[in-house]
Amino acid sequence: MKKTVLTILIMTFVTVFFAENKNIDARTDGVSGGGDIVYTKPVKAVIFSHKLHVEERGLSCDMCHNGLFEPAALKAQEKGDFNMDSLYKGKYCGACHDGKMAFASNTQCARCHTGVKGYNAYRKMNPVKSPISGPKADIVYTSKGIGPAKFSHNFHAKAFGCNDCHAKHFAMKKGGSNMKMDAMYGGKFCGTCHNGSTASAVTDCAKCHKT
Amino acid sequence: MPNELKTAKVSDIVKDVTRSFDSDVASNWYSNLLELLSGGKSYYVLLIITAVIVFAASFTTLNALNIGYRHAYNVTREIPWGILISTYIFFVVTSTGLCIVSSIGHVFGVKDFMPIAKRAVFMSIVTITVGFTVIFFEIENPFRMALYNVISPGLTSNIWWMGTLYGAYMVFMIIEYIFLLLNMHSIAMYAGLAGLLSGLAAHSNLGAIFGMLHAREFWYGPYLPIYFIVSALASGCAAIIIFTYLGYKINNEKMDKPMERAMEVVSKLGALMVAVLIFFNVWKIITGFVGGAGKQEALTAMFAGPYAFNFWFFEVMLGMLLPFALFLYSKGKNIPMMFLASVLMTVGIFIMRYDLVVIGQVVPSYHELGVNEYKGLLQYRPSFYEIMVVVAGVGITALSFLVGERVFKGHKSEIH
Amino acid sequence: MRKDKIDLDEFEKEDMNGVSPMERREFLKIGLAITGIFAGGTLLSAVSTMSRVFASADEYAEKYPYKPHYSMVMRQDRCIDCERCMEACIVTNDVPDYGYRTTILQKDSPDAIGQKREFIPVLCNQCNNPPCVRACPTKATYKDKKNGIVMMEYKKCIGCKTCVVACPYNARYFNEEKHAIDKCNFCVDTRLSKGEKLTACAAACPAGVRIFGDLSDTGSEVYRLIHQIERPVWVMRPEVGAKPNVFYMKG
Repeated sequence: MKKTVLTILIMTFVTVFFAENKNIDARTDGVSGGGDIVYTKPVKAVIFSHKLHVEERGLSCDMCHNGLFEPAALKAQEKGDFNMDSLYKGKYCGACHDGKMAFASNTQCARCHTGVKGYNAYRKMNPVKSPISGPKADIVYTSKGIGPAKFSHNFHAKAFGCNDCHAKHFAMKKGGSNMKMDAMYGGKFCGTCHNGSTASAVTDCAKCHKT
Repeated sequence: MPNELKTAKVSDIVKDVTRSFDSDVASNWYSNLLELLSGGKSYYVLLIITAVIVFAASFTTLNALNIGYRHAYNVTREIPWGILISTYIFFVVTSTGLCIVSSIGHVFGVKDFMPIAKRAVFMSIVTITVGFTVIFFEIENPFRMALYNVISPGLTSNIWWMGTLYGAYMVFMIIEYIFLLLNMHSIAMYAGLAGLLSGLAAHSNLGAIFGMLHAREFWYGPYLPIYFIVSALASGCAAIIIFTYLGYKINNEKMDKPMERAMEVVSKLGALMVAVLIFFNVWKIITGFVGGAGKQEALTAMFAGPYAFNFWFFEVMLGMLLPFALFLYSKGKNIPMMFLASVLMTVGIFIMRYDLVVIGQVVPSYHELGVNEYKGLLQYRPSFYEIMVVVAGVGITALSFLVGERVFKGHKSEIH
Repeated sequence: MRKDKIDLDEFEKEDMNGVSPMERREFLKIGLAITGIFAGGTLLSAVSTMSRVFASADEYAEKYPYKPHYSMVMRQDRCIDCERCMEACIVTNDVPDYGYRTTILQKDSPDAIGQKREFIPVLCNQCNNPPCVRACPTKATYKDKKNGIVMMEYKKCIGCKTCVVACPYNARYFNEEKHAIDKCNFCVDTRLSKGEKLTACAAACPAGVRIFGDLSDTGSEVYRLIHQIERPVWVMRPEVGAKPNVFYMKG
């Protein structure tokens, strides 16, 4: 009897564990954390590449997005302490860029700092996504039994490119994805990121379903 | 003649000059001016065309002043000297050359060179004036130059010396020409000597403007002042052949024996100078290839880069090799052939000046750093306005030449 | 693409232990080649260069008796091209948009290990043997006898641009508003004469790239940096012989 219970517990644990792992895959799969983050404050510019850190260096989301950096893009530069002194003390990038885990933040300055020239060159290749306007801007999903869920394209488009969501997870056509909450809990659609780690959990109903 | 000079006093000279207004000389050039208005048809047409060109170009140039040189001209902070500087050099070099060629006859008394001397002096005045006009439209504050060159001279500056000496040179040449017209040859000779010396000094300073810039490897070195003098002689010989030949064509006359002899010796001198130029250029290029990276890059641009056509076709072919061959082949007797050689040489030399000025600046100051901003060679192309100033300069030269041929009755001089 | 979960403890350290001796030699070669080019082939400190010509620092001070002897040291490795120095200069000195008094150049070294990009600020080097002053026909530009700054007297400038061609550092440009040649003058009229200690660009730099000071003051930061021989200090284009007063270093 004890053995059976133990086996069932272990199997449940393993299943949940792998389910969690599946979500980890989904998190890094295709989305890659949100492309390039272009910091223009306090100096122009530092272009942080998610691709380099996630794909090439193999970091996972929670290594940085566990309090070091907010999941939403460019929140760090809004804070008053986003400067080199903080990095030397181990905050923000300095948590890893301390000379042991990665090159020290007081060396190789121009490796991260692309300067105004780099910013201009980058913007030429990747122009600022113009705020999506019209019917596509905010999408309101009517839901049965609960208030409608409002999705803001502009808020998300600041951090992500179109392909980050629309390549794999969402159809381009409004209403074309036929989304259900169960699928989200399982890590599909909004649940790809809104799983409690990368972004607020999809179980937090009031966050999107405004009454 | 020396006795005359010893006893000549200022009052005597003044008397001579005032008398000339009543003498044959005066009535001659005054009636010639009237003849100008009733000249031959083709001459008249040429006159009109040149005058129109000059007016058109002048209006364009004045418009350039209006809109500002930054918009009108293609010079930049990296290449601040363009075709206007090279054209100025071209005219001033031609002027100095004409002065030297005329002085061989008038100052040093070499009889064979005397027939061409008077026209050479006149055209040297014309070309130096045109040169000054061109530079007037190049520098940003030309009127300040007249003032501050006098009250705040920079004695270490080659430009100051060149400007001052060329100013003196122009005055001396005008004095020489006036006294030639008055047939007072001894005073003319001294004026000519003064003009020659100031011209030589000014001209070598012009070369030194470039040669003393250590920052520009393509120019730096002692040879440019020397090269400019040799080049002046070559241009001067070519110019006087062109002007004499055309002058005789305009006046519809045939050259007499002394004039043909003069043309022969001038062409021989010209050929000799071209040979010296070829020698200079060969060694300049060979030694350049063991120079620094800046010099080598500039030379490569000249040989095989964007300026290769300018160099091989205009400078080498038209400017040196063809004229040299034609001068030799003509044996100094075939004057139309010498005229052709001179024309080719003048065109080639114009491009030679342009290449010298521009190629010296196409290698950027920071090229050795390897920065993105200065990876390759810089570019320069003359703008429409700059070309118009050049056209105006050439037009004024042509117009003055045409008018001078009639007014001064073919620059005939008595042989002593 | 399935990624195994990475254990932070086993994460590869990016310190020197992981770099093989061969790699280190290669990197040094690149570094030497690069700085070799900067120093015209020789890797010397400014003071050891000076010591070849002058018997001592006192003799140097005798030949160039400026008090204060304004100089600048560029700590090039710190420059991040934020361009605050350029903006400060433009605002302080009314520099028009078609010209500049100071600018930043970018050099990319694709073969470098690690950092592949560097920024090099340049400005008028206020040379001790200025080619521009020698070439000016009207003495519109002159070297101030007191502080060694190469100054402009705008009203005398005839705009012949000889100084622009003569300058080895592309420091000069024609200013239409002043109708004369303009260049950096270490903010002498806009800041130094008004009691400020630093030029606009030196004050604006957030990374400590531009160290501005008095070379005749043996206690100043510029004096200290130039007279140490541990880290190389060089000047731009020493072969021209202009004897500039702007020095460059890394580290």
